[in-house]
Amino acid sequence: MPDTPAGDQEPPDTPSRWDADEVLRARAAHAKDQRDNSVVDLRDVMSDAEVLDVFGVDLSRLED
Amino acid sequence: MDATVAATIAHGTRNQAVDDARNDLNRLQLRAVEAGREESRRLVKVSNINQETGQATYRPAGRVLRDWYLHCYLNGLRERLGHPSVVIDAQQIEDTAALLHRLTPETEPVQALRAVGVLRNVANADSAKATVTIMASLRSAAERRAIQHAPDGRFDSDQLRVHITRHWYQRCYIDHVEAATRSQQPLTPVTAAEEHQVAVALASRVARQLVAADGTVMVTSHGTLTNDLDRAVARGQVGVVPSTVGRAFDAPGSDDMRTSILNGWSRASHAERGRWALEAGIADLILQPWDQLTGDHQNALVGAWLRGHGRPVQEIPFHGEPLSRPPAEAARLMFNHQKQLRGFEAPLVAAGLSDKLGSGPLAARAESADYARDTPNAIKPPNI
Repeated sequence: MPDTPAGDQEPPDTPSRWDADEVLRARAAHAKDQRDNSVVDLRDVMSDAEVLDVFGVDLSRLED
Repeated sequence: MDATVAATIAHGTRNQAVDDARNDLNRLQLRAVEAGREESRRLVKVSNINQETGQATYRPAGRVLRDWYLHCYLNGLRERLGHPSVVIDAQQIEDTAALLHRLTPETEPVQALRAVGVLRNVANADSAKATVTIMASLRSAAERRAIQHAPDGRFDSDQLRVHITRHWYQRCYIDHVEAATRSQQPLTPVTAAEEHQVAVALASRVARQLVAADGTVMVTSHGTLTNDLDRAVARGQVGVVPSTVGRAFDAPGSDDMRTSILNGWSRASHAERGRWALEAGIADLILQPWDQLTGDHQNALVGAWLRGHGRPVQEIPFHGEPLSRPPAEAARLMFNHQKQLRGFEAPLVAAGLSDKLGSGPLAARAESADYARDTPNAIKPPNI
């Protein structure tokens, strides 16, 4: 898991033709990728049932 | 329309648009915060119910993680919407993971650390998605408010002035929200020079293009014409500024420029000197040696040399091309907007939910379909 704040790893905002909405969508997509990668890291060491039982986190909600 | 009146209208429209944008952004941010609170309750359970015995037990780890999620989400949202925020740094992550591990001693430290990381990243993703939804809603709101600000009957139904004012409002509104969300294209912020050009257009009833097809504003903050060098610098290109411009501010550079001009004049043929003088606007100049020219003539020749040898033509005053189109189209082209702002065609409820990232609970709640009903002082259509 990266130990730097997520905001430091944002993708460069340099589209060929500037689209402000696309800039925001790219950031959101990048954040989602980081989220998914960290979930994979957690699932390497714990099952979803264990995560829910021990920490109370319902990872199935992230599939919605 | 008097020039002073036009300037007042342009300035007042800009201020109104910024105020409305700020208020709308704050309202949607509050709704997104509420959506985050609900999501935290759905995502993290603070109690454990034994299905066999029916006994409920409190889960302190869940409480820590729920608050951690909300902390990350709120600050992520504030940061994305241009407000002061707490940076979620590595120290906070470690401290939270240590606390979580103390509450769950049966777990490995790495499990606690990764759980904290997941919640941080989930919150970050949720705040990013909420920002996309908020921005889409604000774009719709900008159109409706622009039409509301300048209804068809304003300015004695002068449609050119009506549409210019609408698009100017929309421009200022979107400028504010794009600046707040840090999604603004470089070289596009609204400036007083641009506002002045809008006032000129309102007074003269001549629409001139202010925003180019590439989205850059054609008038600089100094009221001069934006040139290719400005655009290249705005795009982040390096090495586009001529080196002679930089040297012009240093003593050695000044000598180089002076030497270049003196040598250039002395070596130029009679015909070349004549062309140089013509470019300097002193066509009747007697083509004497440099030291025999008057000071005014020398200055004019230096100016012509600078214009042709590397100093950008930033001194050209802005004179946009008149747009000879129907009023709605001329106003649209003036600001390079995608569509005209005709009447109150948009639905009363907010539109613009982004479908590309899925609906999701936060996307739905950050901007519900009943925005007009649920939001205090909601945007209402004008009485027709």
